[in-house]
Amino acid sequence: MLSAPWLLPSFLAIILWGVSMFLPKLAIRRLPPFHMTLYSYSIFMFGAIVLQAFYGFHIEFDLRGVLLALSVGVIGGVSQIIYNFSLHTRSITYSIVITSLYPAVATLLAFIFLGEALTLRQTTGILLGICSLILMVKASDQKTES
Amino acid sequence: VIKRLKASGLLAPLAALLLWGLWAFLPKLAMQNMQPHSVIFYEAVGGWLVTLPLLFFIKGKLVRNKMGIGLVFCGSNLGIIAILCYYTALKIGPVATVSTITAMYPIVVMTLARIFLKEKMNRLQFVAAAMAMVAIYLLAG
Repeated sequence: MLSAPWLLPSFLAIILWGVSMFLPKLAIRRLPPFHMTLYSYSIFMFGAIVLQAFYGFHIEFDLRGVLLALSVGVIGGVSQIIYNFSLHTRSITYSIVITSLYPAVATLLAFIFLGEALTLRQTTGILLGICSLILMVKASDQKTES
Repeated sequence: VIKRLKASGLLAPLAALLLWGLWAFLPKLAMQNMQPHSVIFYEAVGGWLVTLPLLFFIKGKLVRNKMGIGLVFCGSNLGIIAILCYYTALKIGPVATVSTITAMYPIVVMTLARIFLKEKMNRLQFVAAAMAMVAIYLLAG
């Protein structure tokens, strides 16, 4: 049924990612956002250490790279806290649609700071993403129907 | 505008969107000089720099709800397995197609929310969600 060998892991990735993004909504009913963030980052730290073990604890040090990677962690941590708060107050459908558009921001940043070319396809994607965000704002004023 | 966004509950997801965009972009710079596993390690340390002070904020009293912790544990580990599946697919399949297919995970989330949480959408939200999916499809390809 799945003709290409890469289709199975691709579909598994969609489902596992989907479930892994859905479970926090169930967890937020039992854990406050700050607490949930603390638990998830502790698990992340544990995972990162296990990963280092696979590489024989050979951790590289390049000052620029380290500072950038630390910033990634700090930004990820802050955005995780904000996302958990949004899960606490709004439906997951709402939050996931908005936050899943983050590749548009990353694409724009790569265009601005790295000079990466923006293709027509990507530009259309970014514009559609902006339109969908505007629609989400409008939609929040409407009553839920179906 | 901020007041309206806050009232509609959009401010938090929008802030997360902008920060996650930055979060998705910065590793590209970090990996110019280091291997992914090292970047992940420092990223975890950076994450702790933000999250550990939360312990002081909550006065060290972590809520120990077994079900909640279990759900976070399952979610995090499934996420790691998903990344492994994604990398496996990337290794043997075409990057554009694999990344486009896997970028559709919000559909799984929305379906689960519909089935298990009975979350409903109005017509405009349906259109907005469909447009967002097309946008992700275009950006991933």
